Amino acid sequence: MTTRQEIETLIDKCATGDRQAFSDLYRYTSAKLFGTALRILKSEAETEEAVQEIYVKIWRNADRYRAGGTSPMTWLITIARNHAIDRLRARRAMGGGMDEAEAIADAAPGPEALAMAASDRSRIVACFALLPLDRAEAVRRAYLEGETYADLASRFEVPLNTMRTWLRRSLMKLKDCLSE
Amino acid sequence: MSDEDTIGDGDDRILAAEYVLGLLSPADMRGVEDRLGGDAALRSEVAQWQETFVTFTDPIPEVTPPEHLWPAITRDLDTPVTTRPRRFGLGVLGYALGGVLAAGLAWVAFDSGVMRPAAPEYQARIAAEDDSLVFEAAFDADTGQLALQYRTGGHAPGTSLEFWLIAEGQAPVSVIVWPDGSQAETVELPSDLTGQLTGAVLAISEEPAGGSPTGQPTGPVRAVGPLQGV
Repeated sequence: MTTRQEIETLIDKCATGDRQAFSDLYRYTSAKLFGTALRILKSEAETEEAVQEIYVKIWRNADRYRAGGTSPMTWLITIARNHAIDRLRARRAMGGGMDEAEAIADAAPGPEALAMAASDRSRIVACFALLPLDRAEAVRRAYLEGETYADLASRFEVPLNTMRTWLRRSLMKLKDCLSE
Repeated sequence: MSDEDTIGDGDDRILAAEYVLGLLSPADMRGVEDRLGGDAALRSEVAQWQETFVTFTDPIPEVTPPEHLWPAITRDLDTPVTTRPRRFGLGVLGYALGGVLAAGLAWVAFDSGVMRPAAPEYQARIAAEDDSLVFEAAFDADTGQLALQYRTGGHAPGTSLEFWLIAEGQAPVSVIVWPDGSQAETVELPSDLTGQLTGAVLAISEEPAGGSPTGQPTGPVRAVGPLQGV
């Protein structure tokens, strides 16, 4: 298990052009980022390409890590998530709609629906639990499936503005709970 | 938390959350990114939401990447980049059709007069999000011709880059299979397409050598760019 500080040090070293540090960073973190991208893209081949691009991006932007103000793993996972979502949305724009694998995976809420682990994150879990199930699900879908307000409105069969108001209220509730 | 309608559009806490989730329009997304550099409070909101939402990935199992991936990454590192990412911090990541698209909105003027039609009605910068592949395009309504200019990037051996025009709500239409090594090409667009360029998108996919066997994109999308009215 690598500590937060070790990962942080490796990212800092990457920012100075240290290839050995980058190699170590890849060794410690690539399984998490690959798993995350695969969960979003649901295609091995596309995930390989995406993860390749993600690490190039990490290498080239390592000097910006400190300005972001997040933990190192959050920084890395956010890069991976955003890149995978970009690809997913581009694929949808090109191919029109979801492919079969996605459709199957979408049939039921994933196991991660509300099962966020990590004990030090219990507060976040507790706050999410305050949201009505469908609202929490909408937030999760935006994050992990790249769904837009329009996608969510059609999924939950409500007008777009209603969806927007719903979600904003839920986010506010979440924020209030997390700030307590 | 009261359930009143107190959430204005100006609330940065919500704006930051929507930014992190990728729910903003490309224009609003850019608005946030433009502010991030100089606004520590907004940056902090964004960071807090990133920490919150990243917990959605906690239960996702780790998957060890195949062994050939690391050598491919180190090869990519040695490919020079022509431009620095334009955005601040994580903003660099953008969100497509919300993101790859937003990146394309940061229009970079044509620096070569060679290909530019005298008075193009539409221009596009078709770019991978990290600028690893970049083309520029200009459409002249008078001649019906779309001029395409190679800028940077390549593709895997045994594949071809194929250009697609996607009018709003329409299926992609093949524009050209890029001849390897070519710097610039001009394509005459079918007249039924030229009336639908507002809001249209140009995209490049990596296809089997010679182009898509199906007439629709089959390979990964490498670059996207919206046509911008001039």
